[in-house]
Amino acid sequence: MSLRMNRVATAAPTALIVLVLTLFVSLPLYSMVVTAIKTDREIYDDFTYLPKRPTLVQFERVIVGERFMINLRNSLIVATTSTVVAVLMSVLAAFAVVRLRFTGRIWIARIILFKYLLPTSLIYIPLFLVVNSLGLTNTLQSLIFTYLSFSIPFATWLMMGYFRGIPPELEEQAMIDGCSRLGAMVRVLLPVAAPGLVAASIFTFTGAWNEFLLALVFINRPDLQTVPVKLAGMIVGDQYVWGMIMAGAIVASIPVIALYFLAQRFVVAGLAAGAVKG
Amino acid sequence: MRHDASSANERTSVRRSRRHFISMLGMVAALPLAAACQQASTPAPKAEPAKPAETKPAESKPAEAAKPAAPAAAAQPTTAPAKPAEAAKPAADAKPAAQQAPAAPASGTLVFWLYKTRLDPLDKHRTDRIMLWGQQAGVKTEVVEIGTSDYGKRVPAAIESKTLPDVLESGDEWVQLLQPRGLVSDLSDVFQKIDAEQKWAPAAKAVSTWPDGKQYMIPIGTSGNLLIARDDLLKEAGLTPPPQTWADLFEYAAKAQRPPRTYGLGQALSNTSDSNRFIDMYQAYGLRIADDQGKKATFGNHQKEAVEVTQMIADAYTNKKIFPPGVLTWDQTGDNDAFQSGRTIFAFNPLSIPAWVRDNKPEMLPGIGTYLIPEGPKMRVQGVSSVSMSVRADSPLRDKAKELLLFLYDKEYYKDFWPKSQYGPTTEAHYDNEAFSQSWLKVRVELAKNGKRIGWPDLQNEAYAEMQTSFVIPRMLQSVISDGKKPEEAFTVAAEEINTIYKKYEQG
Amino acid sequence: MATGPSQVTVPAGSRPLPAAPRGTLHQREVGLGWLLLAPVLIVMLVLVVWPFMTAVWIAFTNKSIGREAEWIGLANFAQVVSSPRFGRALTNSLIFTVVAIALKFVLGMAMAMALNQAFFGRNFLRAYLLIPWVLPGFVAYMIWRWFLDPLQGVANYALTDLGLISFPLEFLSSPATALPSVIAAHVWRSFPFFGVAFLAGLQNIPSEQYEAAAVDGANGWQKFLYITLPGLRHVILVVLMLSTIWTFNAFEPIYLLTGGGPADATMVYTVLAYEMGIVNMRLGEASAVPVLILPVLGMFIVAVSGLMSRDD
Repeated sequence: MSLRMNRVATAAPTALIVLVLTLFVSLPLYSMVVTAIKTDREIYDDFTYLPKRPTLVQFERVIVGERFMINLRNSLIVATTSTVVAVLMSVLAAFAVVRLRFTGRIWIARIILFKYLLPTSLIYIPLFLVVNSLGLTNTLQSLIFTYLSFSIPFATWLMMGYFRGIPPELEEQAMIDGCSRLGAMVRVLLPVAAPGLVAASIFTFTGAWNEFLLALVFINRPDLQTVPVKLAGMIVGDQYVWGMIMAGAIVASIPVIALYFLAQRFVVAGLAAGAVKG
Repeated sequence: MRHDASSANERTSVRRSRRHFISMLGMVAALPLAAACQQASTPAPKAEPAKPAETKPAESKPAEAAKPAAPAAAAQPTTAPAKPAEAAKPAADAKPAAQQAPAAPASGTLVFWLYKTRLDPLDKHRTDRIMLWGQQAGVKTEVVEIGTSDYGKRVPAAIESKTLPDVLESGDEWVQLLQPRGLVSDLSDVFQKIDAEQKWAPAAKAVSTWPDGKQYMIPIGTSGNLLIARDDLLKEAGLTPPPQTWADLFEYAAKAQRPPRTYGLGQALSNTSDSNRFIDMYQAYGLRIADDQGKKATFGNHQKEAVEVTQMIADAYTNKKIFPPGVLTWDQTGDNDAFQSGRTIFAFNPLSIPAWVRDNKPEMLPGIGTYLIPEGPKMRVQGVSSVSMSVRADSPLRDKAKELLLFLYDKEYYKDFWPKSQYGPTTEAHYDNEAFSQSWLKVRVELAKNGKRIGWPDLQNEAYAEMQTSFVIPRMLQSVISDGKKPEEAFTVAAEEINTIYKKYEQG
Repeated sequence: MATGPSQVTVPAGSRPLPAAPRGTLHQREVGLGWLLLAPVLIVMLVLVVWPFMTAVWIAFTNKSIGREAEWIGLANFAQVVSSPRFGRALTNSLIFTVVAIALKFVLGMAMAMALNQAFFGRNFLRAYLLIPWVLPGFVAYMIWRWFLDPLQGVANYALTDLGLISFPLEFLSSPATALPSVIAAHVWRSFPFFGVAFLAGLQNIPSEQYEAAAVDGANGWQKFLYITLPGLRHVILVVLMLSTIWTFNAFEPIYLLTGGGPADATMVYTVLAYEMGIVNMRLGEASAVPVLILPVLGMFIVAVSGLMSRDD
């Protein structure tokens, strides 16, 4: 098969997949976007597929009236810090498990996964007790700290997977050339495992950005509330203010999507990057 | 092979861009880390400087707070004389103390969890009042607004970590849970004081008084579900509201509805608190969950009534089709949404719907009527609940907190309060407040006079509460309607569950 | 040779894998190992082990919120196991997990393969298709709730206007369609996670392998089976293992969409435990639920991780 025929052969299924997935993702999203630009009347009473009188009043209510930027700032601080620290810790741990030899490493790696066996909805009270005893209630640090436990197990395992697939010869070569073990890790291993780093960071960031229950319980001060808590709190009486919630959701998603857009260029890294020849 | 040279270049350029990315990441991360560390070094104090500043505007603009309400003219002259009256109140809060408030706090901060109604004028009105007291009494005060749906997650966590606030404003079901655990103070003295000045309404007294004769909470307003109806649509169908009995209700609903445009009874049958309203119907037909002491479950003895009512409801759902689609999984906003968009004729609601309509769709308001819950053959079950303030049992600021409660019950302040809220009156002194002349709120006065403690004829205790929060009755209805079980079968399962629940509390 | 995300051929003349170090070199390695693990271990000890032990201990008591706990042995477990609601919830959890994981795997793999190709708008799509996963859970599920609402949702309006139905469909309230609808919403929200992880894995499979296979006459499907899947082996195992646990422990989708109804048609064990422990304040009984399920999931972890570390 010529390369050109090859490309055509993959073009059709690719196009189909892209179409189906885009449609699947877009239908509910259209509902969200359209609700965010409708007036309350058009949301609840006179249903329309597309707003007859599109308006930005919902956005204004959220950004100006509800001072949403403060919540965005809080979420950004928590998510970014949590991600950097978690990925750092996970890389070190994964490196230790995969590259060094000592008893118990495999079991340690398994045990940390047990974190996921207990639903947060049940352990949030003991966690609150821990945070309270450390004097961290009503601080963003309480969230940064607890979110570590959410993301480290997964990030560690993901990095373990990447490290396992990269032969140790490369680092050995670097060590022969004078690097220390950790130096070799930083200079040789990490760059090659970059796609994994990015995936782990994306995962950690998103998890921290979207977490709701702990953010609700640990923090009382309105100026420290994170985005999910703020959104879920947009209730008047016993009724959600859908227009504001959807507008807020869009505003909250823009920085994160922009971040991903930037990051995915680095995941791309090129096919050549993964294949390191001797 | 072919790619050698270019791949080497690619590799270096990729490595460079990776390094660039990582350093960029590092810089981006350093900023929030710095910000976070900044925060760590300046924790709580940030809150304090703000507080005195907040109270000052409150003091200097009493007129503004009163403007939105009609009785502005009446309120203005009274706020000035009110202050000297407050200063004269018991304890040592003379004016001089108020002036040095920020500098010399009492013993710690008084934390007040405010029931966030999201009717902003009301929330602000109350917050201002609380901060005013703090300033005058020389007590550092902090008001935390809690959304209604957050209590369920926050209060359990607060109980366990012993971080309940000094004063908790909440639905009274929470005090029901705190009192048996010894977590709230006896407030009978405060209760008597207010009674002497303003005379509690019978329903407010009933709601606040525990079986031991004491009061553990001070209700700030009466609430409770009522029947709301689209009088305009009923009249169009040739019917005269209100339906007197449950059977009438189903009849009216069937006759006046025009599906799929409108449906007769927009009431949840799902696992949400709204669905427990059907317990009222069962009780009105003579069914009892437990005995008068609330100790032993008697539900199992009432198969006849249970089956009768279950069949009525199931018939209404399946044959008369008066329920809108979706009620089997509505959350607590379902009935509001449906009624407010004009899709249902009847609903049970604590009047948050007319309040919303008044503020957002005023043209719909004249067509809405509010009535008592219908009667059954045995009785009318119309319960009254409240939003109440309770004081933490081991609070070091307990006496100060009691003063705050009295401050918040000032007669003149309250005149302003009713028009901003959607509660019913708690004291006879306020029956004639102009808020209660509104067509849809009038019925609350009747309720305050004649309403029974919620749960009546059963006793609202822990076991009863668990029966409700386990949604035993709604699930019984769901299994008949959705799973096709026979009413007798569903009844047996429910009876078993209720027995188990009540047994658990028998020891305690 | 090496089996992992990166299929690399060791050039001739390079050294073989060194033997395990002995003596002080080994000690240094052990020391370094534990040092590097220390931060993770401390975090896990405080935030995981302690709450974990607490939860397990509570399951053997009659703990109710605000009250002292008293040891009651296996009473909670007996009650939970004999409750018909628990059996139903467990079954639903299983069905939910199996179906959702299968769908997420297929969609995620398709997404990764497609986004690995070069085409116009590819970079934009790589960010766009992530949106369902980026949204806060509350928002994502509320969008679906709104979307499927029988009275005001787009889905029903559209179907009615297209003449396909005359009466609104109760997607979330009818026992036949409730669980499938919840699964659909959950898959919508979570499949991009699979896509991202797989896409990152695909980056480490050298294109030379595909080209070599093409030269040998392999078709698309064979390339997928013999190059892609093995190349993604580690990533697939990690993602499957973790996602299975997460999906099994899913709480938000059910809680927000149906609350477990109608008539427990969508009730899963996590929502039941929450209802018992937080809503009813009976932590003892509630903790017994996950503690019962724990050993099963724990064995699952050990088994799957065994599969992976075989290659170490």
